[in-house]
Amino acid sequence: MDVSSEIYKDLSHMVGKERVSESNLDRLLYSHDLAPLPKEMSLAFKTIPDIVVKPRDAIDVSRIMKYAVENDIPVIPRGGATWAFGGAVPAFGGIVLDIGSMQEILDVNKENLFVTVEPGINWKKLYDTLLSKDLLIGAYPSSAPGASVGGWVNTGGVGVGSYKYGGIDQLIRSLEVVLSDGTIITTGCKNVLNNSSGYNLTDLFIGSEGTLGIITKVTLKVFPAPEEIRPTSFVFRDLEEAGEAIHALTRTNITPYHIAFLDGAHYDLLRELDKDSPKIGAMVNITFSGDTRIIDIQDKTTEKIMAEYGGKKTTKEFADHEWDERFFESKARRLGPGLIVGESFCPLSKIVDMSKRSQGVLKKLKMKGAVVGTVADPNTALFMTYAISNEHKLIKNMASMALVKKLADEAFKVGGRPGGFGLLFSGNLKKIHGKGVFVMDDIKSALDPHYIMNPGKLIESTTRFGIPIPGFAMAAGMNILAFMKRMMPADKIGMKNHGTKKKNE
Amino acid sequence: MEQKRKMNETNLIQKEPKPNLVRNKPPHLDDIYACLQCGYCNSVCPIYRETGWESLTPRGKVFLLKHLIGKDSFFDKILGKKITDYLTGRGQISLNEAMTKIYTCTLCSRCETICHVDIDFHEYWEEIRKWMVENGIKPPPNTIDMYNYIANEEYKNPFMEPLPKRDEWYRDDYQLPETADIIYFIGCMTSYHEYQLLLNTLKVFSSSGLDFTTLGTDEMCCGAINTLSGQWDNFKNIAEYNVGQIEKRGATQVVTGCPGCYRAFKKYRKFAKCNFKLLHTTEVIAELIEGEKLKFTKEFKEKNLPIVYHDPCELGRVSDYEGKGIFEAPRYILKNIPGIDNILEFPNNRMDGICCGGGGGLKALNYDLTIDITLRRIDEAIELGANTIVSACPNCKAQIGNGVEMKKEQMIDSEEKFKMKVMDVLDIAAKSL
Repeated sequence: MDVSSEIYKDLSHMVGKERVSESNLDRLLYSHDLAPLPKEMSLAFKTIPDIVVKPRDAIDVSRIMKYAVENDIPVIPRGGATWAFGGAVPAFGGIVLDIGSMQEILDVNKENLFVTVEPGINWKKLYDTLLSKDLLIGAYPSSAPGASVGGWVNTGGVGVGSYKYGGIDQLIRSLEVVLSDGTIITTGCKNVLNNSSGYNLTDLFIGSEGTLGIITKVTLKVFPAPEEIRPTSFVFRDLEEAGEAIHALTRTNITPYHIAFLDGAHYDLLRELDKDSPKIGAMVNITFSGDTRIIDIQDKTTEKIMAEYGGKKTTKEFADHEWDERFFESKARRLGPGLIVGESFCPLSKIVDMSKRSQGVLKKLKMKGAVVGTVADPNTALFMTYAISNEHKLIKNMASMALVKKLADEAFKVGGRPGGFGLLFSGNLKKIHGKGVFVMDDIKSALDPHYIMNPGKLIESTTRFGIPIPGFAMAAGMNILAFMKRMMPADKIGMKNHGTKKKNE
Repeated sequence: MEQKRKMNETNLIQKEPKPNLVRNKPPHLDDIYACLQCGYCNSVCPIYRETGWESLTPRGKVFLLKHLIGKDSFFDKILGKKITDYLTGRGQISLNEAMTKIYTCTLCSRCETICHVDIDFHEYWEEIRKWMVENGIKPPPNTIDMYNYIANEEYKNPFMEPLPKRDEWYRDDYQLPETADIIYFIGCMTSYHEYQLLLNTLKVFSSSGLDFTTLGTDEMCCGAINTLSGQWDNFKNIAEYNVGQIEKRGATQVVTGCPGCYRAFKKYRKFAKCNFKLLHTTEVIAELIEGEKLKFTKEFKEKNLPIVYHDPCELGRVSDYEGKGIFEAPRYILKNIPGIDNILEFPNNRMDGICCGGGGGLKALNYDLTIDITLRRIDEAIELGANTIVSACPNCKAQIGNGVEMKKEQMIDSEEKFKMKVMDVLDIAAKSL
């Protein structure tokens, strides 16, 4: 038939027929992630892969990589595909390696507190399994029921629990990685720390968006399960007061497990969905973990600090509900239908400023949305501001993408930086790292001389026709979109009867 | 053969297929667009756990539907579809392949428990199948056969079993009255394949002194498989027929031990006037125990302890979404059996229960896959240390029973001895009388 049939035969020979597919249907389903990229985009980037393979282990991956180098085919690793920056979406077609099928827990070591897992396992499953064995995973993404371990490593994530235990970079003991030439390497030592001299290979792969190698095993340090995980919630008049209270709390030695803040607008949107949500200015959710006696003291002091800034503690039931909802912050998508999320890190000292700026961006772009975020560590607040879009309207939906760029701009202004890079935002990398990007280029060339490891991501944005999209051009384009969005009528909630049956949850 | 050919000719489903899915939009359109593609459903889907393919996950299927009903893109219009297909590498999607993917699902509704945007999946998948069939996309051939056997006066059941066989297990031993307050609607699975369960149920009912009867050979398949496979066009007739038979016997209550029939009867209310109360056998037995009208005396065999209870999806979770889930009645009965002090629970139970594999008509499409799901459930039971898996559904019982046989075959050369009993709550109740 065509060329891909040869690929099919060769790959089936390597991993077995039932683990390879090149049907139009399967290829279509591996051409996207959470990002609502319009169909039109698939002309600029060849988002539809030529073939999908589900490797079983590092040896399969190694064979596939050798084959890909020989035949000059791009390889795109894909975990849960729950990121919104197109990290797992092909830019030039090629082989999608569906790592999601490698999801076993290989080793749980209670004596020395570490676990080794395959990268496709999702965080929620790992968290639940370990908790049943009296172990706690330090941090996990707010998309834990969908996100894979390998995916979060590749995006250098911070999330729930990071305030106390750090981001994924703080939690990894070692990685098993398959390089583009098929070599299988181990980056650290599973039993002990990695901080002696010697280039830190583990960190090289954290946040590499799959551009340097395929992660096939992850060893994480784990912690003894806490006696209690206690969620608390505080209601504030507005996000400004909430921000000040968070700032004050993070200047103390109290170390909650997790701190999250949500704009009152978030609850307004939930009410549009017929949920029983309160009418408030802002909410701060603080969750403690550890020994009950120590939590009691921390809880009391925290309540005092919150009260100083006008925060009122909610009931336990409400706080528990908020904790359960930590994975479900994008419900408002139904109202569009569509949702755009802008992820940006800002210095914690500027949390109030950034909140106002984010609200300002939403207002300027005439979008309906909410400012929500978490506190990554005492230095850093992670804003995940979202807005509703309407996917039925191509032009308006495209223009709404400007939100991501505008929020990134604001983050830069307050001394922070935007979150991911992925398919479209590699221009920001140079803004953050300056000449450091050239070093990154050299590392990329050294490890992936044939440029087949998830090409078109992170360090270089190039359309399928080989035309690079320089950062300034992308910025200019995005500014035009923002201008268009401001000229258009304000967003309204498009759907009628959008209430779902499960009311008042 | 001749007859089969004739049936196919008269089959209403086999209209000339001219699917225009873009124009004839499916129901629950809001849900298709609301889907965030967060993939939370993948993490709980039993099919995904076994196959690992995105196309067999709820998320993938929703994305597929969105694609099938999507209008041409801007470039499709300007450049023409052929050119854009070539440029994007997209290509035509085979509708038969799409059907196979959508039907590769046990309809267990576990995805609904975790859905980010609250899609009512328990209705959604059934409605989508209905929509596909209405648009001329043929369902799996085996389900078409089942549809035809049910419609055939000689069978009235999906298994092509002769009609007179329906009551042959009990007609001589039980002289049931012409009319009664309660109709025990047996269901095809219990009548033809799980007759032990049928006899046990009759034993429990008679010893409790219930005023009951069955429809005998007048019973027709409830039509559950028709609704699950999207072939709704004669469901109204089935509903009217069965309701008519019940009315003829003057019953005020219908009791069934099959969750499939139980749900089908709930659907009857849309098509026929149902002047009777619908109950599951476990509800009736639990009530009898509570009213001290039924007492168990014999001890449960110690060698079969401990037991673990498996929640049938349709009886538990799906019924819960439809108004009232039956989780506690079966457990209550088991607690009242002498010798059973402790009921083990699967890590995922009640609303989070995992399908046995036998639901949604998947057996008719991909039997091997259903057994893979069952084997995983059996492994969970082994890990718990259970010696008996108890359920309250003839389909679960049959499926898990088949799984146990398969497991035994797999372990034939193993040094470990594998033993697992599979029972229905009613089997246990009857044996304890």
